[in-house]
Amino acid sequence: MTATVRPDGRQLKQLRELKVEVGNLARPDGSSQVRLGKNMVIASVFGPREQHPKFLALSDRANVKINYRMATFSVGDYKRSFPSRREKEISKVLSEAFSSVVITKHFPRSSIDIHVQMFESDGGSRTAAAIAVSAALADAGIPMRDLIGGIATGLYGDEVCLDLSGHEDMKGTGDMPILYSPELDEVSLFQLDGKFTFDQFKESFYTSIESIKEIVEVIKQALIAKYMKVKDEIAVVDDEEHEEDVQTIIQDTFISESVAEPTADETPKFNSSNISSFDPDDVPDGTTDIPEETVVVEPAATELREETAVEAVSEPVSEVMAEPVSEPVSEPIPFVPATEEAVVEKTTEEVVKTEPVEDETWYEDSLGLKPMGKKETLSNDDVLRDIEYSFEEDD
Amino acid sequence: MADFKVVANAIEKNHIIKLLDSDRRLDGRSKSDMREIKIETNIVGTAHGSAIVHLGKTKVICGVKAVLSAPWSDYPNKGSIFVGFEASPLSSPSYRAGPPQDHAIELARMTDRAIRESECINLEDLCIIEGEKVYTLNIDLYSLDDFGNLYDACVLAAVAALATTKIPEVEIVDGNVSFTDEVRPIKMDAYPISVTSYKIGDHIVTDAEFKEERIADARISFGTTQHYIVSGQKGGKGAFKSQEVMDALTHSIQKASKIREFFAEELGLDLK
Repeated sequence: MTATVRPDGRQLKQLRELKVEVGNLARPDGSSQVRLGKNMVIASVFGPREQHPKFLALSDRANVKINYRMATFSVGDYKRSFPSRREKEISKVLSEAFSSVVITKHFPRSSIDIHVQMFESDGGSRTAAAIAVSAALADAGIPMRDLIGGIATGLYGDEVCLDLSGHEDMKGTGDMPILYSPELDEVSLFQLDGKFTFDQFKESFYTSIESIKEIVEVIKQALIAKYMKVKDEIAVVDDEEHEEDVQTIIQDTFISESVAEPTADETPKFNSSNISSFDPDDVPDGTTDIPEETVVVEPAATELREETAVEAVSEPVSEVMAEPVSEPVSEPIPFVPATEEAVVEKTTEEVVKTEPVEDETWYEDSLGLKPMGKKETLSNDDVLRDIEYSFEEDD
Repeated sequence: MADFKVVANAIEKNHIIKLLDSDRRLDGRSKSDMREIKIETNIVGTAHGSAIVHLGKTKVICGVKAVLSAPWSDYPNKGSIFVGFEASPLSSPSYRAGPPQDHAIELARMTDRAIRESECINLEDLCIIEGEKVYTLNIDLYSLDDFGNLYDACVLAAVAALATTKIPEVEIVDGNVSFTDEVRPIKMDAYPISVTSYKIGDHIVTDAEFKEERIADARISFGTTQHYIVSGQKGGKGAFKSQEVMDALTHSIQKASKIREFFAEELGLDLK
């Protein structure tokens, strides 16, 4: 057991540097960028949205479709642009892996499309891609049973080495990528090639699982960091004594009844759907940093909180795992079942206000791609009622 | 809302799980039993090696064809192998003619990994002139009858075909390499065997037949040789607990060694 076994001087059980950033792209519903050592990968999530082509739609759940691609310049040689057998296989196994954690039953007949593109690859690219997908899905507010983390452990120089680099993978004698959810204790992707003895296998397997627990923590921190950034932005405005701005931002961001037109620059895009896991008692954590002047907002905010709290009791989604919520967020859930029944179900006042829009635009609104807080998007009540409605039909 | 297929699958799954609760299966096996394996070799005259493998009602044909080619620049003294799989539309009503679908690509690559990583074929043995000419073995598989678990059947068929492959000797005239009528067998150093375990509800079953495969939550395949674990793949939209992975592996190793013995007996191989 010497540290010098590995060409980059790492310890046997040492990860490369892992950087996760979420919400780095504006157009998708959720996005992330991951750097695992030299690996650079960007993932984006669209949906849940209508399944195209329609015959692929599943009547009882959503499709989770991951499209894993490598850029032509991502490897040593020039990579041909059409998808290789490897890319197709990885797309398939990743899709299946994430189908096991995403709560697909909530979105029948729809499709959750994830595109993940490698821009630089250096060993363990499929696990880096999986980390990016996991973070992007959480960023998009897609309900999941747990976050997924992934890492490849393999054999290099007769030693079990964690997180093989490209060089180690090529010269080594075994590689075993794993995706794992720590809370569920579930292995959702498993691949192996090389020559493992039983003991080496066992060591690699449990080494991977242990380090995935760390990786999932990094993803969680990245998700929290996104909301901390928003909080800081509000604090900066406060320093400059722009009380009115602060008030507008808070209203536009957190209170759906707000009439004010938010500007694209100032309004941070929230995607959290996790209304049910939102604990009213924890709220002051977010609000304490908001300057005194904004106390005016309090009554409205409290009212909303109460509403959502009631919903949380009646709604079975309560154990749903999503990104941590550090602010009182009450914008619409980013998915609205696009059934005709759902439209009929809505109260008339809101139907009247909604133009007979194309399906796609309808989605975009409800997904919060446009500035939120507008009246024409559905309120939480409607969304939750629609989901309940679809459950009843299911049974 | 729910269509017929969903309901039918739910009923069937319920039925299968109820059977499994008392360790019974649709075709009378117990949870850990494999179906009967039958091997026919030297089926096709034009191929250098061929085999049909029956795994219960599942049937796969494999043909090995050796061609001359230039070696990879990073391995000038090694021949190469390539595994292809075609989900032939004659084998199942759900397969369509056309370019390979994702599941066919996955199957081909899983078989490729089991063969390649086990190093069962000595690639240096396939070198003719270093840096210029080597043998490339094209190992192509076609499904004939898909009654579930093509994964294990494909590896069996590929290994059976390779074990009986006789590649043509070459003659070199003025630097031109060409095949002669003489043939020689290729050296096999190991015999990889794949065993797939399926998760149905809380049960783990070995070698699912197609009705079980259709409703299974997930599957995990392990390719093992006499001494090593050489390939692995998890598939399906469910997940395995970490302990289940270890159990499936142990079971795969035990089953594989029995199959290997049977295999050696059938083909008259020396397992060392």
